[in-house]
Parts: sequence; C-alpha cells; structure tokens
Amino acid sequence: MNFDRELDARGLNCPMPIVKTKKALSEMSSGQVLKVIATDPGSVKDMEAFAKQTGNVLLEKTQEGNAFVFFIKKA
Amino acid sequence: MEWSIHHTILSAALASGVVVGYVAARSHFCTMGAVSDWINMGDLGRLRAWFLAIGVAILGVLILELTQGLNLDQGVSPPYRTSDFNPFRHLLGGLLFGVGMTIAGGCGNKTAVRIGGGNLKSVVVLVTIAIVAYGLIWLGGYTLLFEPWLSAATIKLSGTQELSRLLFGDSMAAHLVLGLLIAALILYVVLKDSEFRANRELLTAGIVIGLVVAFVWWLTGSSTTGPQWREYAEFSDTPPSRVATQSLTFIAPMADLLHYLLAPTEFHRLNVGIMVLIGVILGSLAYALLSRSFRIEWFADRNDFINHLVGAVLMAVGGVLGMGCTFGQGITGVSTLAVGSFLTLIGIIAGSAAMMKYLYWKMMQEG
Repeated sequence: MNFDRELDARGLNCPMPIVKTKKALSEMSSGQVLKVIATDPGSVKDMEAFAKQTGNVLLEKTQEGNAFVFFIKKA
Repeated sequence: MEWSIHHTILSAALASGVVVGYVAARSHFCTMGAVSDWINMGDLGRLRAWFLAIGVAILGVLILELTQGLNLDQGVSPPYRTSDFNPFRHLLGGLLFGVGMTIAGGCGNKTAVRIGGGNLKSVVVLVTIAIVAYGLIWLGGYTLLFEPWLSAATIKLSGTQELSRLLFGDSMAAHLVLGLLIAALILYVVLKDSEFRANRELLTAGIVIGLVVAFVWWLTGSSTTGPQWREYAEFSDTPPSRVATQSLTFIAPMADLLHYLLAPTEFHRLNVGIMVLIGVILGSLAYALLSRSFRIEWFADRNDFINHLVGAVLMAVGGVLGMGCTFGQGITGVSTLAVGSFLTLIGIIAGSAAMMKYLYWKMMQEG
C-alpha cells in the first residue's frame, strides 16, 4: 500500500505509539496516509479505537513477523 | 506440613490473581490505558471498565459488611480508614504514581500482566519497584525520608476517615445509604453508554475485577474465614506475614516478594498480596499461551530504558506514599469509602493525565 509517511514505534509501549501517531498525523494533510509499525500487542486495539474516535481511517492492519503494521488515512 | 486455613487462603488468593490476570490480558483492561484513551483520543471505554470495577467492589463490600461480618475499621492492611488522615500524602502519592505509570507503560497490575505476556521491560519495572518499595517499607526508608515532613499534614480524626462517618457520624444506616448512592451513581454513569454495554470484554473485565476485589475482602475478613485465620497465625511458631483483612493491591506485595526471595525457605513470608501478584502473572501467561500472543519484548533504546526505570521509582514512591496503586487504592481502597482512597485515585488520574499532556507537548516542541 502506498503511504506518505512512516512512523517506527517498535519497542515502545502504550501510550507512546498513540502519542507519536497523533503527532505525526497532526503534521500531515487530509487524505495522506501514515504507516505505523509497532510491536506492543496492545497497539492493535489502541489503533482501532484511535481511528474510530478521531475520524481518521484505519485502511489496513497486518502482522509482519513480530511487528504490527497499520495504514491510517488522515481525515 | 499440615494443610491449614492459611494455605487455603493463600491458594484462593493465587486463584484470584489468575482470574484477574487472565481477564485483564484478554480484555486489554488497563488503568493507565484508560487515562491514555481519554486524554489522547477521547475514548472512555476503559475508564468506564475501571469505574465499573469500583462500583461492583463498593456494592460487594456493602453486602459483606451487612451479611458477612466484614469490618474495615480495624485490622485492615493497609489501614485505609485510619483516623490519621493525611490528604497531602494521598494526593502527592497519587500524583507521583500517575506520572510513574504513564512513563513506565502501566500500573502495578499491568506490569504483572505484561510480564505474563513476555514483556521483559516489565520485569525490570517490577524489580525496580520491589527494590525501592522494599527500602521504603522494610528498611525504614519511609520513616527516615518522608514521615518527618509528611506527618505535619496529618489530621487526627476522632474516628475513621470513612466518608459517611465524616459527613453524618457513626451510623451504619448512613454508611449503607451513602455507599449505595455512590455505587448506583457510578454504575449509572458507566452503564448508560450503549456502546460500552455492547463491549462484552470490557464489561466482563469490570464486573469480574470488582467481584474478585470483593471476594478477597471476604476471604481475608469475613466472619467465616477471618477469625479462624487470625487464630491460626496467633498460635503459629512463625506467624505468617500480613494476616489481616485486605484485598487486591500491588506495590507492597512487590516489596514483600523481594523480602521473601531474600530467604526463600522462610515460607511464612509468603502472603496474600504475593500470591495475587504471582497469580496475575500466571493468568496473563495462560492467556498469552492459549491465544498464541506470547512475545518477548525488550527496550527500544536507552531512553526507553531510563523512562521505565524512572517510572518504576515514581510508582514505588507514589505507591507507598499514597498507600496503594490504581488497584490498591483505585479499586480496593475506594471500595472502603475511605476519603484518602478517593484522594489517591484523583491524584493518580490527574498525574497520569498531566503526564500524557506533557509527553505530547514535549514531542510537539521537539518537532
């Protein structure tokens, strides 16, 4: 999937992946896609809730080895 | 060795921990996560689950006081309703704990849950909390470093610091009515959200954790088990540790675990808190293995390591000052309706929320 920016949150626990995602999205334009890579198992539910609450769209979530990869489109 | 009431209580405490660990891991129940969801994305789901546990625990305690002879005015560890009321100690302890759990990736319970899931960072957090809290509780660190200046803020009450007693005096009826009103208000606010009611995992987590808190109160303090347990301790050659009315808490048990590990053949050092702590780790491990989600995690970098260390120290100090953590005061303590427990809970949420805001602000400043 094409993306405009990548955020590496591997090794970080809650709340840092969400805080960093929030900051990255605040610097992007509407319609742009952010790729987030995280290893915290809690990040899966966190990203789903974050997208739902903020109106940003979670386009895709996959698991690559030990990492969870999310593609989020800024609303 | 003959099986006794003490062994039954320790076994039941272990089982209680397993239930909490399994349910918390499965549902993603997390008190720090609850504050994070609220502050960072405006989602109240996990905060509702936390308060659901509080509401259920309050109701459970009221029923136990009425029907099972539970007495939370004396012989309780820690003494939530103590007449030595120190609001400053509770607020400061809560604030420090809230800041600490935010930078260390979770509270005492979450640390145990993370360990069960394979997070080695949380092992470092647990060891750090255990060492610092051991120094404060067992080696006199609190008495030396904090008591001299904290005691100036202590207010000597004529009775307990239980909320209804402060407002209406000694009246069981007033206690029951006020407790019921508080529990009903909490449950109404929590359950009026249809989305939360549809979230079976969080709903179950809140109810189960609240019930387990009530169960351990019953286990250690009811007229069925309490007197027999105390009698056993009284006639033991080596009285077991912390034979007192109590329920779930995590910071002092981490110090107690270190105290036990320093002399592992002295089994009388094992206590209810340690068994619950170990149970939570085992329950979370069971969930991680059954769901195939067990994964080894380690620090991302040096900063991540330092953050966890600092957070753990703050949690240990805050947990001792505030006489409990998000579970110890935030659920167990509040279920006694002790005013200090409410203050610690407010301090924890405020400290965590402020730290969340600071982290975001700092990140924005760094560009």
